[in-house]
Amino acid sequence: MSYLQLQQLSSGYGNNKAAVNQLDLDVEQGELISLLGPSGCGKTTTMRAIAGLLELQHGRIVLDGEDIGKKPPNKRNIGMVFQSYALFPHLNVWDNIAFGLRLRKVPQAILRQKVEAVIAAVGLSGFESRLPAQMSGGQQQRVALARAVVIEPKLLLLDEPLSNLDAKLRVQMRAELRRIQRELGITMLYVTHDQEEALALSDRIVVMNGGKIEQLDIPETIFNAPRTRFVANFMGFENLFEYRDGRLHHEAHSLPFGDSVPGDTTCIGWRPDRIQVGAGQHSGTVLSRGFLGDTVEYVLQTAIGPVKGLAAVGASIWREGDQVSFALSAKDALFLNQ
Amino acid sequence: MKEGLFSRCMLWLVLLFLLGPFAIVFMAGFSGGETLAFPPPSYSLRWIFEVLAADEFRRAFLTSLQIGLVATAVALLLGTPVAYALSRTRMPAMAAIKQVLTSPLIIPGMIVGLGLMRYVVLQIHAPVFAGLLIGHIALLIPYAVRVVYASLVNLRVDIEDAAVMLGASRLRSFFMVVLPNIRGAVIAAFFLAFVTSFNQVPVSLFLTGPGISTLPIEMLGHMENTFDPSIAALSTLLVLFTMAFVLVTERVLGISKYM
Repeated sequence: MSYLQLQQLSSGYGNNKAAVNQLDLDVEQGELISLLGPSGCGKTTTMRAIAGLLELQHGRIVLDGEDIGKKPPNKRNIGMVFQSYALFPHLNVWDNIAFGLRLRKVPQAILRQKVEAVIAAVGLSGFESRLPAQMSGGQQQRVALARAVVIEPKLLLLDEPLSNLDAKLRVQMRAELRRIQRELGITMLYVTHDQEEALALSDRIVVMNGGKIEQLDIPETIFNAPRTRFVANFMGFENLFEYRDGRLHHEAHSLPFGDSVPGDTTCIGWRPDRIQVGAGQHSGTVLSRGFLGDTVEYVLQTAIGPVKGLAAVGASIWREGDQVSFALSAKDALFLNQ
Repeated sequence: MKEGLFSRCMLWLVLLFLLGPFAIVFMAGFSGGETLAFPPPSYSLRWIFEVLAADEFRRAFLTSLQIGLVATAVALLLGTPVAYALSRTRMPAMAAIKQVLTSPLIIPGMIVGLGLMRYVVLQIHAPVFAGLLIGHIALLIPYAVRVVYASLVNLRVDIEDAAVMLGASRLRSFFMVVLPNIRGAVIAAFFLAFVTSFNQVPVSLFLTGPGISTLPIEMLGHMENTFDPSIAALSTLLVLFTMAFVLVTERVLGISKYM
């Protein structure tokens, strides 16, 4: 039996239709799972339902063999890191972190030891008496993390914890989060809308859309072999075309595409870096171009709508309005059958 | 530099406007004469001592103090949870409820006093002190709600969720993470409400009765009958008392940012 099981979970805000509908998910102990999707996909709702901050409309939540669906949130022993950090503004770093242990009436000596250890683990030694307002976003983030893990929760929920940090710090904190997770062996559910972050951090990724799971897989599979159009698009397959009767379709137009397509294919997709501009059997008009450093990105107007592809920097330069050829090869394509 | 000069002139003008009348009262309070006159014919502490010795003023002062403290405390105990509910609940009716809860701030005190008299004194025959107290509580709740509400809307909601996730019940999280962060506003509301009650004339006018009077009403009565400088002396004492009070609390608590 899995460590965390969501069975037919439905939840949402107010009396509206459930934002999450009959969701099933199994998470193993020590695993880091990301809930990935655009805003409104139900990932935060799912997380808040597990936390108990939102009521279940339907379904069960089983954590470590115990049905916690009806337990009040403060009795679930689940840690949570908030997007805004939600540090207590009137308490210093030490008191913020010790908050949960004091509520648990942990003896003073053990409390001191645990708080010191976690402060060292997140690299905040020397900051114990600072107030949240006196610290940078990255430091506040570490306090929030320390405060949530020091109570040794059965599960740690993280709600877009890195989204308020600048890009460089985000990448750094990402690695650190992974290290701390490994060291403590803590089971984490990580909510994010950033696919790069999810790919870099997760053992497995749950891609969500419209309150349902689109795909659940390891990062490599999610990235290379999305199973639905939604996941494909989210993972960078920006050129997606309907496929039937040996042709790619876009509205009323179509283009023949015969070579080695699996029989049940209904949609074919390419990442921009898999469409080479400048040579090939198809042609289009340049709509826009953008210099990306080692390549140039072109958006072409073609018989099947806009196509985004790349050309090497050394290649010829085409201007808006120029006719240019491009190649679509089955070798680099993603075939979808749903 | 021109603008600097202009705004400095304006500042002095406003200060003069605000403090001028007080200066007149202040000087009249230290008058040595028999009647209220400006400038006073001579200066002495005569009326100050007279006022301090006057029984009716001392009684009224104590009544005002009692009414003010009790009514303010009750208004805060009732108003803080109300402000909390207003700031944390989203309902279409909330805007209307907020209007109702803050209405005595808009409605003239006379009307409130008259309404309260008809209801509290004539309908339910409450004793005079109780009537005054109820009237003042009703008057002060909007102040309490207003000030506390303003600081609650600036306080993040998710710190309560964070406290709950760390093991606190909802009630406990209110006391552990909400209250400490609105402490300044609650204290500010206390002073605002207390001063409002202490200076209250129109509402109290309808609710005072035989034997029991608040200080402003007593002063008003005194002024109608006699024209000596004792009221000026009393006012001077009250202003000095209030200023000392505010200065000390500002030093200790730093509340001016909430007012």
